[in-house]
Amino acid sequence: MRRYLLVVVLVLAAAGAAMAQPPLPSADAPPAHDVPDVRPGRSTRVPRAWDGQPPVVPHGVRGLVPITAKANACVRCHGRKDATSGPPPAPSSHFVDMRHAPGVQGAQVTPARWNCTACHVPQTNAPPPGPAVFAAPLRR
Amino acid sequence: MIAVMAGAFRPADNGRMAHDADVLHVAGVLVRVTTPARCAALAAMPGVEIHAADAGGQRVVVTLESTSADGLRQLHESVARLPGVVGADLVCHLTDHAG
Amino acid sequence: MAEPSRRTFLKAAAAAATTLAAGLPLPPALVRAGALADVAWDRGVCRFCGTGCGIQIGTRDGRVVAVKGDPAAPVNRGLLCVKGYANAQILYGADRLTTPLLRLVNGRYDKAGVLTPVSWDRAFDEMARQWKRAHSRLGPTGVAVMGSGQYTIQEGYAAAKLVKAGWRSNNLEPNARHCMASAASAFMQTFGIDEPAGTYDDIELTDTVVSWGANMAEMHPMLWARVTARRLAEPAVRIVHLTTFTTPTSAMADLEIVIAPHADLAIWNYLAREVIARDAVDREFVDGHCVFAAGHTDIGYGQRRDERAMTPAEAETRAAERVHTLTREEAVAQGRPEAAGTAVVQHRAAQAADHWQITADEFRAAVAPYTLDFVAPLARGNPDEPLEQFADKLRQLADLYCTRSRRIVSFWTMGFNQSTRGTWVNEQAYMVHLLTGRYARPGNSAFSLTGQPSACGTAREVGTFAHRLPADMSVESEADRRRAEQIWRLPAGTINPLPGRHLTDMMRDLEDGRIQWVWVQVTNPFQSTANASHWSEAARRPDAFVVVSDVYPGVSTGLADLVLPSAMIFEKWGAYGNSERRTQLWRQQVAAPGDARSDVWQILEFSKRLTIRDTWGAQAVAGVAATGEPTGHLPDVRSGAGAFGYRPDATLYDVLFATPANRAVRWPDPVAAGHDNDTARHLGVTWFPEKALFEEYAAFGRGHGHDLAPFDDYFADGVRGLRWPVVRGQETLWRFNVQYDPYVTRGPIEFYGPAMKTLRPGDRRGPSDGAPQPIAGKAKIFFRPYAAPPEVPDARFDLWLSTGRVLEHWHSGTMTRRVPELHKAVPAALLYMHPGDAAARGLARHDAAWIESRRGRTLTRVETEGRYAPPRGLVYVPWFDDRVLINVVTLDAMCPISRQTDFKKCAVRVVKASPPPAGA
Repeated sequence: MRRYLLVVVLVLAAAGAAMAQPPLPSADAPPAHDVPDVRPGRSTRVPRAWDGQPPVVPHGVRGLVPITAKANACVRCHGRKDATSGPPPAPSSHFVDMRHAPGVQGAQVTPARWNCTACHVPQTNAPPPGPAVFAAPLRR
Repeated sequence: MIAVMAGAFRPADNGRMAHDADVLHVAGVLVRVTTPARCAALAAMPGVEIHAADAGGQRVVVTLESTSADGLRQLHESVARLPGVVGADLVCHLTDHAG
Repeated sequence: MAEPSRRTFLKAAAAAATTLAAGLPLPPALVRAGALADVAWDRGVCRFCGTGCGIQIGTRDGRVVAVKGDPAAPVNRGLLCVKGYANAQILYGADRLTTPLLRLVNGRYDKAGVLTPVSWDRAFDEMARQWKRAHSRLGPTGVAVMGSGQYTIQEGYAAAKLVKAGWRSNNLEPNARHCMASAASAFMQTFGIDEPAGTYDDIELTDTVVSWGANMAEMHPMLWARVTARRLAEPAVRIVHLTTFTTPTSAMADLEIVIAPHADLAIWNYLAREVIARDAVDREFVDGHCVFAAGHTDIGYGQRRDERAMTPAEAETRAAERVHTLTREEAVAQGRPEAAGTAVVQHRAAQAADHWQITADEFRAAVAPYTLDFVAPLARGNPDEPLEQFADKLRQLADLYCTRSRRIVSFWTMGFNQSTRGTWVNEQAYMVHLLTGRYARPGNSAFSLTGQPSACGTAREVGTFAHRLPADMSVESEADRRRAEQIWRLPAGTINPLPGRHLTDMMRDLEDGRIQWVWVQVTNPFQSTANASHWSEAARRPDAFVVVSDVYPGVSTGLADLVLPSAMIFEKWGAYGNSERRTQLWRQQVAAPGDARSDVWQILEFSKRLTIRDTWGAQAVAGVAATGEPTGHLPDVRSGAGAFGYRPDATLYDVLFATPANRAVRWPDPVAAGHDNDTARHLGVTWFPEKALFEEYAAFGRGHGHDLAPFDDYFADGVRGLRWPVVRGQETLWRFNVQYDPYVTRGPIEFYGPAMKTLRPGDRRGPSDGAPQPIAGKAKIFFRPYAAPPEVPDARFDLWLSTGRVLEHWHSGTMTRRVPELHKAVPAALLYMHPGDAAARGLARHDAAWIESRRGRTLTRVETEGRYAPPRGLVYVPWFDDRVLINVVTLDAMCPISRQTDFKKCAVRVVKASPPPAGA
């Protein structure tokens, strides 16, 4: 723990010298990252970081979003309850209307869970974040 | 203490590499083998442990452990390349920092 | 190497997760060591938006390991959005601040020095030394606290008491000044009391949801889930989304109306005109419960009115503070005698909040010019949409509001509030809802959505504003000051009657050297304040001492002279109040890392460094003479201290916090259920600071329409927050309605809010000499005209810029950008632009481009696809990314009544970036 703390402190202290400058817009535009255009069915599931985390969308979503009142491509593939092959079905929790009928397993994905992309987000190919990115002083 | 997110980062080069000696990386992997007999070779690999299997013995729950993320990645690749292994899906990757 | 037992545990956890993922049954050995076994769950509330979702926090071995939506929470019933699910992860970014950092050279404080770890003692030593320097030079107006709508209730209350009762300063402002100030001033002017009448329950009861510029699908996702559920369950329900650019919210709407910036001001008046013309007025409601009102028009735009600190380019826009050239639309919309092109002096800035009563006929005449023929061309936001098609959409909108049997909920947030006429447009929403009797009734609501998790619960209700005291009271009212002094046991005259500086003026004062000590808490103002280049320069002034309490490094910590590591949510006890008046409390779940300490601890500990001898003597305060203090000084109240038993050298901690009443609130407390309290532990006390502060604060509101329940009630089984006023254990769902609100004495509807309930008569042009009349129990239907923004696109800066958030990131990104899934979803702030506009500027998707205004420029990349589709002529840039500091581009113009910045419109140009020079 102490070593960890020391390293963080050194990073901040080193950055601190440069931090004395006023922050100004970066001289370099941040790199552009896209969601890889892997089609559904050709992607690898991304392991969850912790139990209960909504899985991220492992495939591209071009042409599959936005979700509208009439059309929901996510549910079309993942809303087939109890499917044992093909697109992984949404878990049973997604078929329960917790507000109006909490004990009942419905046949369809419950309307409150219609906006899949509120919880399940696709991932770009950006590298994971790290402290250096955020402590960096902004340069003119 | 389990650091299921932060500790797993490896920012490019800010001098934190020395930290890794205290770190344990464990992955849970679902391995698919052509026949149950292939599990012997799997179990014999250092850092690999078998925990459970399905009734037919062809889907095997395995953990991999290493002291670095790179080492874990290499171990995963070795498992995937074993004869008779047709799949090695990474399910989770847990990291533990001393203290 | 990790100890054997930890290795075993980790492997068991990984194996269990894998087994479950494979759909295999868990062997008994793994069940015991399963990944979520031995997790302790406790209630909490989401750290992020003003929806206020209830969560369950899972902890094990001193760490938060999981989060779930609380199935018992009425707000969200077990659902969370992607940020809500990140509540566990946000605590564990690798670079949490864990030690105070002070700029030192050779061991001494030096503004040119490097941020160096120091002890808390050393940190407070310097902080107090600098405070006394600024205070001795400049008095109570020379120090300031920039607080937050993300303060817990207890933090905001402690800060308010310290600043107002301790320091006798009113320089305390929340970042909510830029979030909800327009909403709050409109509530106060319209109803005499803050916050919505209705609740989220109206969603399940309504027939129509109109989102006025609110991208709810991304910004209030769990409320949008409820709206979506309502829409899918009831085919007759209609959703309308008015917006300046297409968003994910548009996708769920039955009708999307793309409007020009500021056109909302015209559209509401068109609707009011239609309501009257089509006889859709609820006469009984209007005659029984409303009066008509009007105010001044030429009130400026809240920019600096002096010549200081501006470049020639900035001067162009700032000129509008003195004189504004009347546009053609304004000449019609404001019913003026002057012709378009006239230079109109903005002479009413100081009277911006004044208003008076007008007759119904005057009101009718005022809205008469807002015909569809007039409004449609002004309001159309997409130049490529045929005007007749656009006009038809407005007609459809009017059809909805004019259908008497239709229940309607209108939602809005920053599109209204962050506007140079934010108070006006909020009032216009009430105008139409009051005209049609759609307020304080189930299923009918004009609902001001709150952005931050506790802009309501803390900033507005506690009153962490320059003019405020708790429970809607004001420092400007002598009766309110006496009441606060009585509750706080202060000598009469302690509280400063002169409001302090609003948040943008605090920055301007820092720039001018009139504030020389600032404590920033739970906010990142050097990234979030418009016209940001000014303020980063201001922080660098040699005479400025800037303290930033934060949890991660960011723009503001980078500029600070002293950085204080703070505990995050769930590392301390706390309470938030959401948009629907629901107050929710939580226990401490885990310890903060390193030496990070709660903000309550920081405030209380720092209050030990000053005594009433330092702060309660006579203080010269410019302008106070006008409030009735002929000496121009705040009086010396130290002699009055003895009467309360305060020693002459009593610290502010003794007088304000470690009071006998607070010390009687014992720690440990059974309500803790075994949870820790590190605030009490680090203070070394056996009283319960967060509970004592909560109960002391609650005394202000109980019996005054702001009743909170007793602290312990919020932890009862089955309780997931309570919507105030909580009277005899009962929440209030629809205020002002006799069937639901115990404060109503004369039903069926009584707008009992007390503020500004005496009105002079007048007409559209101004007040007359008649005597003020009381209008107790009534709400005001305001006429507010369309007005143009102070800076519009022109030949040089030919695009509108709008700014805001994205689903995945919260505010300045310090928390969410450290969560891998959120960062990878949206790793950078892009410049969302119409493909035609991009092509016309030689820009391809992902090209680097400068976005530039009269104030500054920043570099980013063009995005012509994805979730936003701006019309030609407008671009959108979110502000979460400190590498794309869009606020150096934005304009610090504001609503002159609320002093809330307009972040939604300024004029920019976009230019392709040339590649870096060779060798760079």
